[in-house]
Amino acid sequence: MRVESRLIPSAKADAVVKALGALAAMLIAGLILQATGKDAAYLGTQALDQNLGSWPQAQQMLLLTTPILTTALAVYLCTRLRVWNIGVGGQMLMGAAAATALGLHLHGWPTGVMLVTMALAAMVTGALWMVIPALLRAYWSVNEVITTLLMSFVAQKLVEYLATDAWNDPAAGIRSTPVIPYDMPLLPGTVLHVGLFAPLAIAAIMAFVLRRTTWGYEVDVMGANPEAAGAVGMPSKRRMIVVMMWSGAIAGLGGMVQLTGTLHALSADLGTDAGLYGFIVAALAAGSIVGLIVIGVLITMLLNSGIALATDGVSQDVVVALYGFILLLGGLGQVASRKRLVRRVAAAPKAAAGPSPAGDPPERVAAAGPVAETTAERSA
Amino acid sequence: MSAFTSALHIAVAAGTVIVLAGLGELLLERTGVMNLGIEGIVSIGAVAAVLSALTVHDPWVCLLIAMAAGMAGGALFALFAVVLRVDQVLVGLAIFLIGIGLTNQLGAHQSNVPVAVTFGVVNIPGLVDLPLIGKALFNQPLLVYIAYLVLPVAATLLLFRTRHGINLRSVGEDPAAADSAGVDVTGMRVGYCLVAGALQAAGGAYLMLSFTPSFSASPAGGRGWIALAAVIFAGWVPWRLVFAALLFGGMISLGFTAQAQNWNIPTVVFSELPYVMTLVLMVAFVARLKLANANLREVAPAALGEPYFREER
Repeated sequence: MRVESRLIPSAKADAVVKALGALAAMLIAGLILQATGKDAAYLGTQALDQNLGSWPQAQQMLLLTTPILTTALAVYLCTRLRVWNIGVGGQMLMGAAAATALGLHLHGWPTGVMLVTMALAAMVTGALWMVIPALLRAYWSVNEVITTLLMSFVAQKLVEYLATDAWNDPAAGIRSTPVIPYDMPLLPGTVLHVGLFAPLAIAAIMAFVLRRTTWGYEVDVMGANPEAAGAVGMPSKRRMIVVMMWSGAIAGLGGMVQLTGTLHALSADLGTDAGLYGFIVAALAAGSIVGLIVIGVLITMLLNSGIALATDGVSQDVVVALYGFILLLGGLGQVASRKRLVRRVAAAPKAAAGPSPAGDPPERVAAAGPVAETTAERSA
Repeated sequence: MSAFTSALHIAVAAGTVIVLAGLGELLLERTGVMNLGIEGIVSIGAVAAVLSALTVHDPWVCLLIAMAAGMAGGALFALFAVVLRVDQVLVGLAIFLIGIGLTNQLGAHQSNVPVAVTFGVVNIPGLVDLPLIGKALFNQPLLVYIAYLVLPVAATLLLFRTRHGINLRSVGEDPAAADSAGVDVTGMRVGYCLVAGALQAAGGAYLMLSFTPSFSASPAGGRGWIALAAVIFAGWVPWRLVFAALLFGGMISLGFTAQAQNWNIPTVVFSELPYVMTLVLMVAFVARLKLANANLREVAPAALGEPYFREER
């Protein structure tokens, strides 16, 4: 057996290695915990129990999935253009802040009307929070990783100020605004709110738009091969700005759902962690929306376990480090997807490998077909 | 000390971590590799310094231990991002998470305990007596002089006056060409991952052994990310990074001064200032490039962020 390069990356190899990587990361964490005198097997069952032990516990876990899946979908949208929206947590906070502004200052609206207004305001605010990074990236090629992150720091400090100062109510605590009198309706007989379905709806719409519309198709081509997209006259810069702003809007909506569904007040301690977890989920999902939802639930369960394990003396910091190792080892999936194992044979298999033995990078080869088609359509 | 002198003193001290961490990143990015995990490695350096200060009583030894820890972080990054060629953004963020998580876990027991070992101040004879700026610039720990003078000069000479520097930059501009000219692309990149790790961790160690000698959770406090931005608006040129660091330090210093002088401006203005100004400076830098009919892509190392696949060239 020997290892050979693939021209077209294999999604299967990626998924298998990623799963193994995540397992290895957990195993390493277990060994470290065992070495520090903790009973890893006991902690493992505790962790599982926290998530699926009973229906109330499972409900708590499901509530946690909403912000993580929403931010993950926001990040995912940008990755279609190879743009990394790391500031997704900041856009989410701004969405929550916009919803809070309305909820605190407009009294006596019908709940339904108010929730829709809040959702729209949150989406607009989230999108606006993305404008500067989007313009800088599209027109001046300034790295969006840094700009979105700086914007997210600004958001965090701003929300801290709003919660502790401008909108603070001492009766609600020194770090929180008063409770907002508009709540997401609950599903009957549960503590789950209807916002739980928001990420699923977003995922469905996104899958449809990306796979079934010209707009989505062009976004994919631009992501795969920006030069080719520009050459056939696709408006790459404009499309990039719009995609990045939609990403911000989705994150902002996530903030509003989290606020009206779970938190009910803006707090200085909200932080941008949900964005970070969402980023990890999107990065590991590597282009599959279904994969994103599955990984999102698993990552949420891990986060939730951290909360349970805190009572056993394992801090949340260990879980953060574990996420790092999962991301690191999961990244090996990328490497594996470019390789394959071939049984040693006499004949050279290279000739059959693909259309371009000269070796364009795989993504270019993958995009060559669709781009050619578009050119044909346009000239026809 | 006058208010101006003490504000300048704080500015220089606060900027030191940006110079150290930024310089490491600058050299690394010149080889075409971007490590987004600076924040994590600065944190690791901080916690390593704090923990080693419990048993070692020489701040320089603590610094070296911290730098070794940073190199370990750099090595982990290099293994995945350079050798295995996983996406650099992913690996960088993984390093950030691992660094922050381990740091907060390992340092939890030292939270808010004053660090016993700190760097002493070295006066530069003659210069320290200058009016206004003397006490601010020349009454600092030795590490500060090293960060602002020795290292930037050394980095400039290395990059632009030596054969090694030409090789280094060629790896960042066109790795395939460098490779065919006999430069070891992977070796160069891995080497500078380690150098960057050491310098970034030194920045964290400086925080704990001099600037704010007491551990708190997430000790880097966003400075790693600002260093990353500083490298951009320094245009990948070491001496400009010194100015960037001083500007950033000035921003931090304004907050301290405002509090000391009771300026009656909401604290949110000062907590936002470093991030907003970093953004503004980045925009100003790129706008200036645009006016000169250039753009950022021409200034940045051409192969920045791209893994090098030899077999595909």
